[in-house]
Amino acid sequence: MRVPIHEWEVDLLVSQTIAALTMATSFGEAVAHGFLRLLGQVSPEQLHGYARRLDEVRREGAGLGQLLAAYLPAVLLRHDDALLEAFEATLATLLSKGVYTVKGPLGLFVQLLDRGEADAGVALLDLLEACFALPLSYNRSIYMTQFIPQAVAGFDPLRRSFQIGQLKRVIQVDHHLAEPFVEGLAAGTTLLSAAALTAFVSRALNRAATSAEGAGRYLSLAAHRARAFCRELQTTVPLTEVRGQLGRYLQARLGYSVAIHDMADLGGADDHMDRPRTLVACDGRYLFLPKELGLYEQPHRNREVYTLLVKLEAACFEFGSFDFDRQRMHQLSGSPLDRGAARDGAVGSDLERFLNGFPQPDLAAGLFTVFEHCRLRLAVAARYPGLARETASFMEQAVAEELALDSKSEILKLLYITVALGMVDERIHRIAGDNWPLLLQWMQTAVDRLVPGSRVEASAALVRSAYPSVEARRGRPAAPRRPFWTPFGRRLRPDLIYRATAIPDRMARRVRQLLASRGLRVFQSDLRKCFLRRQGTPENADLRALILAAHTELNLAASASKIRLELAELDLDALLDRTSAAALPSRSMSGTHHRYPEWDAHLGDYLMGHTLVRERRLPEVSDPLYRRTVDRHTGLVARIRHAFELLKPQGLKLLRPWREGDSFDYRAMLAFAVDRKAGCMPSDRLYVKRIKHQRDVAVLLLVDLSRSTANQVQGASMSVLHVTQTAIILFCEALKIVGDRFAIAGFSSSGRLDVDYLRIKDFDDPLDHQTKRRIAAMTPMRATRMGAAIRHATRRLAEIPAGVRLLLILGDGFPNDTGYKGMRAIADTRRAIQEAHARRIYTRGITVNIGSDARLDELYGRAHHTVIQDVRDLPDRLFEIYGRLTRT
Amino acid sequence: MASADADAPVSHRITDEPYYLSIGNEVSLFEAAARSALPVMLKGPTGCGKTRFVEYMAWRLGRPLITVACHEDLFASDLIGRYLLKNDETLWLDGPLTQAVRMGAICYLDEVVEARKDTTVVIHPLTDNRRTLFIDKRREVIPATAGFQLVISYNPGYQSLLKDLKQSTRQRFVALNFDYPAAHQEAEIVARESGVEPNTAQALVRLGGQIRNIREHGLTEGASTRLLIYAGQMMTQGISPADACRVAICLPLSDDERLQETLSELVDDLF
Ligand SMILES: Nc1ncnc2c1ncn2[C@@H]1O[C@H](COP(=O)(O)OP(=O)(O)OP(=O)(O)O)[C@@H](O)[C@H]1O
Ligand SMILES: [Mg+2]
Repeated sequence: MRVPIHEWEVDLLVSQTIAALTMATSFGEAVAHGFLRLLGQVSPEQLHGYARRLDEVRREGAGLGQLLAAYLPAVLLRHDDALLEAFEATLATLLSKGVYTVKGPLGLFVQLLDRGEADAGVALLDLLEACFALPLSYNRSIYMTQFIPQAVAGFDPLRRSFQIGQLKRVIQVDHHLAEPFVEGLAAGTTLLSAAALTAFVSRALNRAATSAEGAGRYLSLAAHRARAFCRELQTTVPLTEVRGQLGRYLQARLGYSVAIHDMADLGGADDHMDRPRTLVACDGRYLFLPKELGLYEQPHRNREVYTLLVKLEAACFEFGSFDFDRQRMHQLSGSPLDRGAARDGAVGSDLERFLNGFPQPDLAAGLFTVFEHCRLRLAVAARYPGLARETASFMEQAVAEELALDSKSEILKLLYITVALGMVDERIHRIAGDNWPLLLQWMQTAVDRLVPGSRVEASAALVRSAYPSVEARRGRPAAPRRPFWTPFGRRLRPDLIYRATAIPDRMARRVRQLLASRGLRVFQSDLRKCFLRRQGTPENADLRALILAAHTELNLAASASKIRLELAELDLDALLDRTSAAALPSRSMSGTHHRYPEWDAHLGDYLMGHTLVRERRLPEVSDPLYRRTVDRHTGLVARIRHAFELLKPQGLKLLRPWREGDSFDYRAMLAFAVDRKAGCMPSDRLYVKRIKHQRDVAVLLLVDLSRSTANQVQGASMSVLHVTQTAIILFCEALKIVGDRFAIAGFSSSGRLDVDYLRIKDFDDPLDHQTKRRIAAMTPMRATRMGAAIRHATRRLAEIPAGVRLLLILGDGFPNDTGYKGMRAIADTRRAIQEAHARRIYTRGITVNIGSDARLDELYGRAHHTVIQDVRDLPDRLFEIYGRLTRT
Repeated sequence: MASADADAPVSHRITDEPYYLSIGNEVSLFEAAARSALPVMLKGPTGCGKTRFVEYMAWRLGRPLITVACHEDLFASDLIGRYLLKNDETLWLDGPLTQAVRMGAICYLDEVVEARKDTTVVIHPLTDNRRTLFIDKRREVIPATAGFQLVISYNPGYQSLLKDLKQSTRQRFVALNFDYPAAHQEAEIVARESGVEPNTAQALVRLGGQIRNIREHGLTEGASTRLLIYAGQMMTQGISPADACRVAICLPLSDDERLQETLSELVDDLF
């Protein structure tokens, strides 16, 4: 509503502001702001109402006045009398407890209104009203004024209003159940639909009659039954539940890992308007999926959709949708090399520049999606018939639903359905009208040109040929249009692709130009991909392969030896800013110091005394982490204990046949008789001897305490290190059973002269109070100079007399420190492991929280390491690995 | 006292050329080792063609082949031989190793680390320049007949640390490295061995490659060529591709259910 502003209204503003100012400056400001929000937006009566309310409240003091002056306008702006009434009623209830209860709760209420969540706002008023009408103690009220806003602000916006409603129900029965309810949401009930959550809460509240504690355990999902029921009710599938699985699929299908992120991480780059329909996006590096999926009533259907989306996007990686290359385009169509570059001052990727060369770039981008998805469909059909069938049925359904909803014949949508999805039938004919011949023509052309084996540039070439006729049909809209419809909102997003690959692209351009100046050709897109996959540190061998391939593709003569020669002269490190920074001066240090050499791969030699390791004990912290962890995982602990019981030596080992012993060996007796008979010398080994058998194993757990271990585990509110600690604690519990000797140490560094080796448990330390407190004290620190830490660990382990000495390295990625990057760090670590091996110490790397990477093989040696993509599997897998390594 | 080894030479001779697709220069390397009577160690993951290679080389060199699958209850005496009682008479029976030493055969000890430690005592004098076998029961020293060659196989990475080969044993062998063949070669092998169409063989090999991509995700080893062939053979028997892959590839590889799900996804894509 927009109403003219009268002079008296301005006068009212002035008089009210002055009245407030005389009490407190901030009150005055709030009143002025309030009036400014309302002026011209509300009726004169409402404005008078506001002024009257301020008159009243001034009597009760500036504090409340200021709050009301700020909050009331948000309510008035909604022009909803019922809302105003509810607001006043709640306010009265709150004031009955004291002014201190107003600010937090109603502050959130106003925020919700301003964010357009009026339903949630109303629900919140209801909740506050119910809660503060209860006879709460002063302390409890204070607590609630903080607890409720904090909890409600944390609810999922899409479900906020009914979750608030359920919180109210819970509080009405017993306000002490509020905390368990909120805990339960965090633990999983947040995924329940309104009806399901109501059912769940009802069950919990039934228990409250007999036991408040029981109801609390139910609500917080601490009770086993509650978890089971919640699972039963849940139809929505959260991304966290499938992410590990999907990541593994991508790894298998592509041979490298592609991280999966929450769609919300795309942030402002995504157009909000389209968000509900877009279920997947990809930037050539990461894949984005919705945080949860609840399209269907059956969870398994939702899981299928997740899987299908990942499978479809995997094709973009597999068949090179992100690899558009200007030079290849030029090669293919002989088009001028720099079309579009002039227009835009050459910003953006090659692909964007290509698309921006058209009068309507959004139309060109749309056509690109159409043809590229067609190319992918054909490639998938040739290579993955099963996937093609599955996709087709999903697409058929999506198209049927869309056509039922909206049968407008936007040309891009029609092209998508016919060309990209390959669907031509009566339905489409009917809505296509006179576009039909055009659709058939381009479908045929696409199938002819985009044969399996063709590259993304072939799709781009079709964009160029199809553009004029399509533009002629569509005309030139004044304003940019909404993106056209596709199933699940799938489309290629040149903008995202550029954002994710701009840096490697720039590096690739530099290297390409430099190579060109030496007469070597290479495709920029190939380089870019190589930089991406190698995390910015490609090797000479990679480059050589790319150059050779490019020369073959371009029919240019090139000898491998010439390329090698040219490359040898290039200073790749300098080119890629990989040169190491100068070593940092050492800080003042306590603890014992040890110097170790470091392998310089470039030099091909050790740098003597290059690193300085400081060894000290990790200080204890008083944190009951150990106890808590064991308690929380009673089930797992029991299972592990059982598994390790089996590893435990049976106590006695039989030696047979033996020269002396406690009893005869019957097999040997038989042989004795036969030998006698045969007239040959019988053996005198006729006995069985029992000796106490010992597993002669010593294991040292070397834990990476670098900064990155503070990263949150995707989809869980825990850090990588926290999960690692859990695994270590459970591991201790298990080793207690087997009786193997073990030690734990952490490491972290900051430059070559500052490597910390932190002893957490020595071989001789009992697993006592202090040790447990040191385990709890592990915390993310600095960088990862792995080689030096391994060398020191080797030294400690070598001192231990044991038949088998095992060094388990637990980390979350590659070594990395000042002047210790990429291949150099890997080569040094590998050396350190070999040195350990030479001292009969076996190493095993366990890497968590990243996908497999071929370079891990280089780091630890093939078959000498394990990747655990979902770090939450670590506890389980650690035992499996350890058990396997030391089975007798 | 009679000897029971009379029938051996014939049955151990390989008369038909085994199908073996050479992957690199392993054939000429083995031939050179054979000419110098050097013992050979074949390293590589399971089911990648080690046994087939030995069979092929035995045929090519025209030598008999005796294969022993080693296991944890294999004593030295199982390799050498023992006395048996027969109607109040004792009878000496040569073990496979003794047979091979006598007849100048290739003796292939498959998965040698699995055998008991005392077998190494027997192997050592055979694999250095003594080239003799000592039978303590008979107090007999048999010099190896020309043509005798000891070949062992060894699968690195799969072993328990407590069972690794001792250096003094390792260092008596020439080692040949085996790995899964390159995709086009593997497809040729799968097609040939199982009789499936080239297209299907390619799909199977692609599946194998994809599974090997997640080797460290809880699989002890990737899918072997052998398993791919099994799947192909099931298909030629009329089993549907999905079922064939499930029983011949997925289920044998792992017991982890979540991993099985990923494997089924991969199979479903391809067929
Ligand atoms: N290069 C090859 N040429 C022909 N067939 C091959 C080749 N590589 C593997 N195969 C096929 O793979 C199957 C498995 O190979 P083989 O039995 O030799 O494996 P292995 O390495 O001995 O395995 P294990 O270590 O388990 O004994 C063979 O039966 C054969 O059909
Ligand atoms: Mg074999």
